[in-house]
Amino acid sequence: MSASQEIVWRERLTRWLLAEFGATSAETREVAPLSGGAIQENWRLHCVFAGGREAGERRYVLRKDARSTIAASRSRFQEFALVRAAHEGGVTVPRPVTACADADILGAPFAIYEQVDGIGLGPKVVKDTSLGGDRAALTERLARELALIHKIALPRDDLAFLGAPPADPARAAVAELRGYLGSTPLRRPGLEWGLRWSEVQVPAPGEILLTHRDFRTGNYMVDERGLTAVLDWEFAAWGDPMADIGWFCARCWRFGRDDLEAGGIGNRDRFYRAYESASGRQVDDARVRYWEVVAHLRWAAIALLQGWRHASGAEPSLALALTGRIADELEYDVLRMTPPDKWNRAS
Amino acid sequence: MSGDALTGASLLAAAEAAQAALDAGTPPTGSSEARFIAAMIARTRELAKRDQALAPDIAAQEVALVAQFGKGRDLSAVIVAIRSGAFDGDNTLHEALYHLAVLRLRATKPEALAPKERG
Repeated sequence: MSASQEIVWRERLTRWLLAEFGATSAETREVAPLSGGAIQENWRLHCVFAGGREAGERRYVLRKDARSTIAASRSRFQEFALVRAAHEGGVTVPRPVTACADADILGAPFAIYEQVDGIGLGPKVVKDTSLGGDRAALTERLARELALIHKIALPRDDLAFLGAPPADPARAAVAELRGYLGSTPLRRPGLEWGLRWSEVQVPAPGEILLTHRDFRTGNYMVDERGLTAVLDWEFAAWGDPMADIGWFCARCWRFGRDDLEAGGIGNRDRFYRAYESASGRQVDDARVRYWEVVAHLRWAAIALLQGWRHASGAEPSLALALTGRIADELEYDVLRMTPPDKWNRAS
Repeated sequence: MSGDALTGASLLAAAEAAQAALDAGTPPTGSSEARFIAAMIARTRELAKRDQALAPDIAAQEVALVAQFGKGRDLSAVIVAIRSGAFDGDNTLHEALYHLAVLRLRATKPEALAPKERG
């Protein structure tokens, strides 16, 4: 963003916030881009309001759709509704402040959250054990947070945009991922092999609840004492709660700590037990491991979509191009997880 | 088209664009972001070199895969065959796909391979 664009952006935003919060005066002291967020633009705001519902000095994070995005990602307005539902349900999330669907203000819908301190970068969280406090306690805390998310159940008028729940989440996931892979000219038969395995091995449909669908190390923040926020709600949808556990435990999100199967930070069994205790629901290990294969497939498909944002010319970016290449390792992992002797053709 | 839109020229062009931005002082020289991008560019150039060296092997493996499982047409035909269930749990197909995945990963991230697979 150029300096002149930033001035326009800042003035429009300040005017909008003034009206939205019913303040008598508003000043936006700082607007600064935040790193991270491959699918959205994230900005740090420092504002001061006189009067109104946000009176005082405030530090926020503004999330706005990037120039190009991927179909799997929900709008900032929808994401805001999801975070609000989670906040009301007791999940540790940044306080949702306000959202704007009007693309005329900043060029795209946006949402504003209270800034939360902490570190979210997955590799750092895994490697730097001075972060997150006691790791066993963090593992259990994350399991409890996920259990709270899974308490959000149908019907929910505020989440009507999520649509009807899938009758069969696993089959729906396979269809969705085939759609992603088919939406670019990139052809990956190794991933298709994994998807066919997922179709043949599909578990019977079970309970359907709100699932985060990106609950993993790298998408929560910690400080030196423990968890500070669960982030990145843009993929949330009705689904199989075991899919969230599979995503969290998948090898691709352990950042090199394969021995710590719960997100590279803790013991799988400890995570399961804490989840069961908080949710009252038994963890189905076989189903979780099925979803771990699907997790690799899903991350691979998303990585390819990200890479295609670069390769198609929609958003030339070295970071996006390299994200696309992550699919190579995931494809290799999928083929290792689905050898011929792991096919049960009778199912 | 296989994965080639994310390899070779496209990848190098992205690295060169990032280098040009760095040379222009965006982000500021010496900043942690500039150092991060410089490291990413260096990694990309190494990756592109490996891409170039492995491209003939990857292309040959794709041709072999298509000949055996895609009726000699293209990778899309292989995908159609996989989706049809005609090769469910097929050892030969799995081996061919695995070999292709190993070749790709030798370029992208050789350290992620089992030691004996690194070539």
